[in-house]
Amino acid sequence: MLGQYLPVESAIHRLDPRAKLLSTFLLIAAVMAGGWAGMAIGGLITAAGVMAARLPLGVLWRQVRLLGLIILASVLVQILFTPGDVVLSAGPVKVTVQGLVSGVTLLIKILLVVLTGIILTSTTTSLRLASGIELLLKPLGRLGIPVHEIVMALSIAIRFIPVITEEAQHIINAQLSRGVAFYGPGLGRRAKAVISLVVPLLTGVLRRSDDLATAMEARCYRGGAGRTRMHAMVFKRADVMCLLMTGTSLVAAVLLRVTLGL
Amino acid sequence: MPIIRMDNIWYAYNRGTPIQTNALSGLSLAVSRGSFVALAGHTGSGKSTVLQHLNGLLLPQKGRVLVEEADTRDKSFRRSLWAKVGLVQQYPERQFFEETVFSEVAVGPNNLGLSPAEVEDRVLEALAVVGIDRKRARETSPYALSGGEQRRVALASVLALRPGVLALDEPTAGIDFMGRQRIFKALADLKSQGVTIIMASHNMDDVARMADRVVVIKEGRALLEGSPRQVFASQGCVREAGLNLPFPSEVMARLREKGFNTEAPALTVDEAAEEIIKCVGARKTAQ
Repeated sequence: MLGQYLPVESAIHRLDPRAKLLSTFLLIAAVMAGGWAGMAIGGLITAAGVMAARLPLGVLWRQVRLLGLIILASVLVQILFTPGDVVLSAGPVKVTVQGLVSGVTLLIKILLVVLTGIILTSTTTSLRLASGIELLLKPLGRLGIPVHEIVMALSIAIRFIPVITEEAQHIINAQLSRGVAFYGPGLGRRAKAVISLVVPLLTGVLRRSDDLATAMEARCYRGGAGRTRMHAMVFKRADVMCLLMTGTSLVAAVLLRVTLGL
Repeated sequence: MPIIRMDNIWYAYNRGTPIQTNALSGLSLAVSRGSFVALAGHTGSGKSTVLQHLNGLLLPQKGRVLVEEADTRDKSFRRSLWAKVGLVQQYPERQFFEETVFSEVAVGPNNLGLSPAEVEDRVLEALAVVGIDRKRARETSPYALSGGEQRRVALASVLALRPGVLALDEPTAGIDFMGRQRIFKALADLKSQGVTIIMASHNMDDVARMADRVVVIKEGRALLEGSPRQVFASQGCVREAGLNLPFPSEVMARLREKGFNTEAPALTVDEAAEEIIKCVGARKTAQ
């Protein structure tokens, strides 16, 4: 599954989620704002990140492949529809030098952005990610935005994705056991199959959210004001290093592009 | 010839990822026609995974599963397997999607491509087995029933396929006493009609009461197999699998510890009572 947390013991896993979030943004900014130099720096840091996080390459590849179609389509559009010097043509289809260059650039950039995102989500549990977001957005609370409540809703939603996926599989199995055809031919039968999944799944989600609300009320949950955390977050040296590294890479990428055109 | 045979099957979830969990590690099992086999095991021992192999929802990553001599890896055989081995999963009432109880139970038979008259026959028969009123079934939504009734409707929705083998995963979990009695009565009726039943359970009282063979499963392997009497006589093994003894056997075991001279592992309350009277009497005459 895309963005699934991988429980491995690594330096990246131990980083403060705030540092990881900010570093991810800085790195993405460096790759997007920079030129070839930005891509090279971003690529190096991403590769270092993958190694430091001890992510198995097979798992990484499977996750990237999930986005394969989207990536391929956007790269093809770049290659085929950029005007310029034609190098290859077959009927109405023309491939230009500029198209190839921007296609390759786009491919590299998308891959780097996706990989950075995967490093973030596979080394950080959704709970820690949500706390990180909450702390980073805390200043918005002064503007009257209920940051804690929004993040709580968000993290509950994320937390329940695997639960609901599992429940969906359970229901699909139950319906397959009664001969409901999920995979076979026939539009009418397939439509029936979808209903046989969606109705019980929705009922289940409503039941769960009801139970969860009751459980929260029973424990006197009252929202964010004055709430403390089980795991207090402290910036350590590694977090500062991580931010410095990604921050420098952004500055370097932008400077190199502006001054030397790299 | 056993109706079901599992030869040294292995299955792992999320295979090849850091979160791989081994569910079955070389489990072998044979089920003879018309018997009632209980798969006894702690939560996470692999019982549910075994059941999902029976009707081809899962295929063994190693080893093979034979149902009536045919391999479940054979695709064309697997297509018809759902009607041969009826699977009632855990909390089966979570599968409901039709507007009335009747049409809910009719889902399976309709998918068999039967005529409307035949479908109706089967639905009414299945409802009768589980004791749900046929008039109410046509008017009521399955979600409007009580928990126990919902469970029985879910059971009926599989029975309506008239499967030769019935696989059940904790069929009485979360059901009250009366509801359990009715479910077990239905299962006993089915057994007397020659249906082979395989039930996963961690309630040893249910196992002792219903099964004629017990397979104790631990960490994806069959630890012990035999009649309930044999299995519950080997206390240590049952405890090692994280299970308790049925209540009457437990009482007898405690009495034995206290020095009473009794060796039978009673399976029912009546047996235990008889045995207690016997050994208390023996003590009195000795005195």
